[in-house]
Amino acid sequence: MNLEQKLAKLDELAQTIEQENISLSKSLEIFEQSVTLAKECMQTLNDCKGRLTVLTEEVRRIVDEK
Amino acid sequence: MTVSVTQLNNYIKGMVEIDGVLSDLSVVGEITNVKQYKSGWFFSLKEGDNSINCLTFSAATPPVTGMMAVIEGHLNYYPKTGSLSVYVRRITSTKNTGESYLNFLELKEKLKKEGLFDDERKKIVPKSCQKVGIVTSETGAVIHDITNVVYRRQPFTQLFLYPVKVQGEGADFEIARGVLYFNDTDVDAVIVGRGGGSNEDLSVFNSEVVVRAIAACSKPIVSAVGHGVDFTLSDFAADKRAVTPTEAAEFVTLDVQKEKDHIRYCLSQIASICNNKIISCKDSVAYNLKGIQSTISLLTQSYKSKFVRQLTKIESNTTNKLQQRQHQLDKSMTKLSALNPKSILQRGYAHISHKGNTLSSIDELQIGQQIDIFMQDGVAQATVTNKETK
Repeated sequence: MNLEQKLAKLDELAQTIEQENISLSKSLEIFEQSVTLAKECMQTLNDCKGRLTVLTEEVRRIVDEK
Repeated sequence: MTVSVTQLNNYIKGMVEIDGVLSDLSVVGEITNVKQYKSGWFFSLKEGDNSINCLTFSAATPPVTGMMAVIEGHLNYYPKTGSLSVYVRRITSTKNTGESYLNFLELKEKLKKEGLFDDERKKIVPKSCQKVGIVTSETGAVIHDITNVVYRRQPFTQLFLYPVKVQGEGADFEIARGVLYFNDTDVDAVIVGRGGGSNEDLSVFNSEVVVRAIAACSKPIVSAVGHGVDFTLSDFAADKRAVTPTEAAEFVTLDVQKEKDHIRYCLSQIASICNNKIISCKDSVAYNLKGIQSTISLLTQSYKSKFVRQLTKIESNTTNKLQQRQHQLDKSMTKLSALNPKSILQRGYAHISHKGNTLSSIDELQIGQQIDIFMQDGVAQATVTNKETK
């Protein structure tokens, strides 16, 4: 699953858990799944932020070179 | 006799002013080089290769290039520059167009018909030329301006000058040769130009040989002849017309510093957008997770409340039942207590028995019979001496 799919899944889980007929054990299962997804999303986003910083620096260096 | 410049100029001025012919002139010629200023109009009146400068502040008819006209006024000598000009008070059109202007229009029409000015023929001038050919005079402001602007904007550009005369006899052929010279080179574009001047000065750029050379050149040509107001046939044939030599230099180069700034700006915009996207995604993750967490918490709380309610119910039921049983037990105990023989004896009654058998009727007693009398706190033996039935 890519980042967008994970974000969509997380959104879906947040909606599912709000349904009234859902059991506590099922809710906890969803919560567990959400935490795992959130961790993965945050990891990906932090990677993106890092790559963005590196690229910005690299392009700035190229622009200043010539 | 030696005189100073001032003395000479003042002498000439005096001579001009006292001359009866020069003080009231009427001259016929073709108007050219018209320039309008706040104060009035400046122009030349020409005939063939001869011309005289004119100026007017009051003429009702404005001068128009190419117009054949009779001008009336007086000659004036200007000592500061040592120049002569006619102060015109009236311009009268002769309704004929000047010969040189007619020639210009005729050639323009002819070249236009041949398609030399067609937009389809025009080549695209690269925005960032690495090598630029220049056809102009090696002295003067034009080459200086172009060089300055090009190196300031795009320092890595290579410039190649083909020096030519830009006015006078033979200038047209030199310019044409210069333009065609760059055909066999690897320049990206060619600038053909000269600075401002009179129509006569610029006329070389109206010559057929120059216009044809520009049209025939395989390289993109930028014309930069005179100032903005001047139009020559070279301008029509060139792939692009610059108002000034500086603008021509700008057409063929990029402002590297400006481009760098632009790239930096774009980069910072992209980075900012990416950053915002990351922040927004993180917010979305946190929001959903918090929502889920909150729902779980509410659900747990609800289960807890439900559990507590049930527990309380059970507890209450149990207590009630216990109280009921206790009540029943108390009732039974009271009953049992009432039935206890001892409690009857306590009320003052006695239990009579004979040899362990309870005697409850008078008929069971015999006179002289030994009986046991049980009381609440002891037993006594007695003998029946009398009996009476009631």
